Amino acid sequence: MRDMVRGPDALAVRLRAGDASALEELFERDGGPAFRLAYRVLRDAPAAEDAVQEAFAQLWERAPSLNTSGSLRSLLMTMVHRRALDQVRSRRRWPSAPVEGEALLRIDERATELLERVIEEVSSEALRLRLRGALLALPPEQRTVVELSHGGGLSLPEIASQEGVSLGTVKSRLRLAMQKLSLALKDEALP
Amino acid sequence: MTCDELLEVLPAYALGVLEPEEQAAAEAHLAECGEHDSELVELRATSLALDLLREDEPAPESLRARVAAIPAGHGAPRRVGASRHWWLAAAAVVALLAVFAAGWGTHAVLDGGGGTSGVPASAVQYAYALQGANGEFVSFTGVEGASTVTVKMAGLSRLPSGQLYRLWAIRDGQWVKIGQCNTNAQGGWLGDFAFALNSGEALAVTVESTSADPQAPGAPILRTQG
Ligand SMILES: [Zn+2]
Repeated sequence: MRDMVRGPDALAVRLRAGDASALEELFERDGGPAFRLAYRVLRDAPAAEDAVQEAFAQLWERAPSLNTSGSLRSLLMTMVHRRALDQVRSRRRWPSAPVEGEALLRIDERATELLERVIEEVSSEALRLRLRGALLALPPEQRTVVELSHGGGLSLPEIASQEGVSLGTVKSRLRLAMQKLSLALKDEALP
Repeated sequence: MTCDELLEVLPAYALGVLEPEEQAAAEAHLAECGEHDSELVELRATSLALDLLREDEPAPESLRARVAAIPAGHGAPRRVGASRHWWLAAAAVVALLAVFAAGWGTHAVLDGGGGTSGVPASAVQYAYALQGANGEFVSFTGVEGASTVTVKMAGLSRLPSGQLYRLWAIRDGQWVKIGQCNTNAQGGWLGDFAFALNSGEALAVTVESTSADPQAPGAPILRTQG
């Protein structure tokens, strides 16, 4: 069940008509996740803000020719992801700029198409529900580790001391949890 | 790091939450071993998908204001040298720093106690630098009247999670936030902030907790004298 089944996104229709308040409402609705996505790629808050602002500006520029039958959320998230990758590339061309997670950036670039398919799928209601369901179905101690590391940005040793368990236990809980979540995603979005 | 050891930390690596040393070890393994790419792609995709579910966490307030300003500017209010051209701007800044470095000597501003280098008000480009007693260095460079400032930091400690560096301009006695960041494991940072710096403004750097009031500065670790 994709978004388009419900008919055109009302926000997209208003954006196409040049309604500036629709842009703010879109930010209200999707700005948080858009920022998290950019931050995950860039790991730098000012750079992530730039990527999101650029995506919104680009969306506003293109609004008059917006296809209102597609998913606005998936279009926005794809644009944010691309702007974030643009920044990664430009940062890399500047030799002394800090570039962390070189292998991750390589994966982000090499798997752009796949990742964007995932972004598109997750922007649809059905897969969001599925992934949310998988998250809720995790044993509480595994869900806690996902929430503290992914959501809270805590390092594994920090989680170990907060939860009062060994580092090895934290690692295996995170691994088990991520395997289950990947499986939930894989059923629909990953090949 | 062996393949088994890598598999243990791969989920944390995909989330971007490994400690710097462990991350470096994982990087080194991944650079040589091609066995883990498909698993890493899956984990990375899952990580990004989880970010898209975090609807209840709002974006930063500063970003809200920037997005709200887009329609009025017809999409114009982007930072100078955005995206692809950013590195060119950064290269120009370094050239500029080299030019001003000669001037700094004569103004004797980079002394151990911290100081600032002011440029004449008529200059189109500005470069200010703060330097600490232990080799900490923060420079602010940009074009007078432009809406962004490029900040370069070196010789600072990478802060633990939960803390960050916040940069301030002191404008008519008021502390105005320029932006915030953390350095990499080598103590460096380079980036642009959407902030119009005026010539002659005092500058300061503080260490803040992420849970602290973002508008209330703590004690500065570096600041302009006077
Ligand atoms: Zn291996």
